[in-house]
Amino acid sequence: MGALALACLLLPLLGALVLSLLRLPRRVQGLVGAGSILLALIAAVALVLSGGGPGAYPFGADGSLAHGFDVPLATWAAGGTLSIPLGLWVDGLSAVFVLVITGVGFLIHVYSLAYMAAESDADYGRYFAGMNFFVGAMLLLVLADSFPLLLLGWAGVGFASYLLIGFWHERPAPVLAARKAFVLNTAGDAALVLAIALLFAGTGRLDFSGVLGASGASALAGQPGLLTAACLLLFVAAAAKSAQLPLQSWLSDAMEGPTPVSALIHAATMVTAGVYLIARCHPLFAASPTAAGVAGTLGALTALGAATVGAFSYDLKRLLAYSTMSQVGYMIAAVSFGAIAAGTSHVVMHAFFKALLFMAVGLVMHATGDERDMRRYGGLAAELPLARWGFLAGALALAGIPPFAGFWSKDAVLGQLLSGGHIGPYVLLALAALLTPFYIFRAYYLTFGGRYRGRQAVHAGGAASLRWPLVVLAVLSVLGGVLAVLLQRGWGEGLDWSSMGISTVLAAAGWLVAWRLYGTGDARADAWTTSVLGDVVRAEYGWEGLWQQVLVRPTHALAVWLRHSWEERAWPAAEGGIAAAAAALGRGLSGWQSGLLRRYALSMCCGAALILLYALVAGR
Amino acid sequence: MPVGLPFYLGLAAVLFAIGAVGLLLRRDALVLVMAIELMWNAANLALVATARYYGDMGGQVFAFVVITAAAADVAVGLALAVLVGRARGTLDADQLKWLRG
Repeated sequence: MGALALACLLLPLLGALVLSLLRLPRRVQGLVGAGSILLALIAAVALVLSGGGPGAYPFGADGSLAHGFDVPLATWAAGGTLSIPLGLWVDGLSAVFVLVITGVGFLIHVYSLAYMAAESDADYGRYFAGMNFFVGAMLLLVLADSFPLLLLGWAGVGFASYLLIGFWHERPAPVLAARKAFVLNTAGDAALVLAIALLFAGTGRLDFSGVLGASGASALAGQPGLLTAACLLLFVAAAAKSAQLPLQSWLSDAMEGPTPVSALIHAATMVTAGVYLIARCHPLFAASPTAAGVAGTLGALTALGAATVGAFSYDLKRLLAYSTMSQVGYMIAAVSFGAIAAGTSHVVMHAFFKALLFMAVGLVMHATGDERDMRRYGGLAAELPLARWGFLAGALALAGIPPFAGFWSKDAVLGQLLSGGHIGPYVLLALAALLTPFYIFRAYYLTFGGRYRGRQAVHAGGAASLRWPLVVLAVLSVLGGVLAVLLQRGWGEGLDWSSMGISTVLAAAGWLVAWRLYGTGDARADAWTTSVLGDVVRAEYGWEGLWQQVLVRPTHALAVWLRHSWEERAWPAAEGGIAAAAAALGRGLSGWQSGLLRRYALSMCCGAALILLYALVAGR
Repeated sequence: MPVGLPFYLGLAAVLFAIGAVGLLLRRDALVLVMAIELMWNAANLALVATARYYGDMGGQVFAFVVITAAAADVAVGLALAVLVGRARGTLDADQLKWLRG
């Protein structure tokens, strides 16, 4: 079983290596790129089945990850008190994530085969190398059994994200977006390192079983301040990776990358890394209600705030980015407050329908000449039936309409929050649940209803490999609720029938408003978004402007000042000064070498006298 | 009072000082060699006097070594002076400055 886990982890990395080192024909590149993920998926399925299915590693009765198995690989730097074990940990949580990453990842890779066909051979290979590397790093993140290894995967996905957002690096916008994402991610990386250091200081261990198990709990019980600080730092790291407040602004810009990249990294997997982190460390958050409260509330706030921005957006991809931010807020709130099954099931459901939505948008973009503005869409239902039905399925799932997939997980989150007594976050998430169907159906009707408002001709069509992943995901979005319920049952969180009524009402209400306003597809219904309020909201309530004023401008000014005063003035002067001083010293000293015998004799006498004096004095 | 060790050492010190000062202040190369020889002999005097005072024969034996060394030094020094004088036509130390850096 350990071999299967290792194979699952290494195959995508091997694919990335092969694709980046060798110059292969396009078909082989696609084969390697998608094939490595398929093999990883097969390994993952075999792994889960050989362990008796995901139900075989449930959480323990006390919520701890009692059942799982460790695959120790090596120990790095075991000396004294520091021992860094390197190994893989397979339990229910990591198994679910692995299946999602490889499964949805494989579908997206297949979709990319035709989607990225317009690229050159070298870029095609670079794309798949980056995607494979990402999958490998993400698998490492979820399979790690110790914090340092998790950190390695964590940094790896951040780097892969940078590579893939900035894929079209000849254009300025993707480059800036990639840089911005990387900077914000690095802030999270720093927070994670600090958190790991604090946890090590508190428990003396770096592996999960040590920190998160019984020994860690007893060690940390006496250090509540340290525990809370560590948890808050973990949340900061999760916020950076999962685009939550206050480190959320990179995700909407990240839409500059290719659409499959957005589907994989910024919808299904990387943004859920923060969710995984908090879920993994949930014993810590359970012991620190302050940190859990902060994390959960910020997650809920993000969910609502992002939903409001999405409601005003014109750019369809950005709208989906805000939607991701919002849904990840649900997940973060859930796992922060201990509803691990609800949060994880939402991760899975969201992966299905968000990837589906992005794929559908990709088809629309391909057909309209890479147009993203919904004001130039309209009436595409006839030309793009697959995209239309796929988007509809995804929208129904996202909106939380029963019996589609999203309903079961979103309702679980809401129900768990309500029964856990977290009323504030519950209200925020419920409001978001009202807005979500509104914005997604607004998008649906504006894109596929009414008449075509764009300028270019619409040309549909596309390879089969663009289509069947969409179909698979659509089926999963429709029927996937079964998986969510099974997961929740298996992990000990039952269905909450009371909250289901409220969730259904919210979803239906949001859809109803959208239908009333936009049902005919008439774009004039959208006039209310053009107000000044709309501009403010679309600018994320001035968040970007705030960052610019507070952080970017001063840093830039500092950098300019440093270059002006230091690099152009002080440093050359210092260099020149040092050189001049050395030369002067040399000239001064060379005066002694006059060639005069008597002066040399004088020096010798002086030296001898000094030594004698020293001998006399020091001898006392 | 009887002539004790301090007097001998004092004499040796004075002789050494005269030799050192001569080395520093005189210009003629032969005089410099003479000054060096004076310093050697001052050291010799100090050695022998101390050895006699403490009854230790080691000092007097070492004085023989010093005499030999001084003789070798004089031989080499005079040889150098002769050669330099022949090559440069002068023995003035102030004018022998081809080692100037």
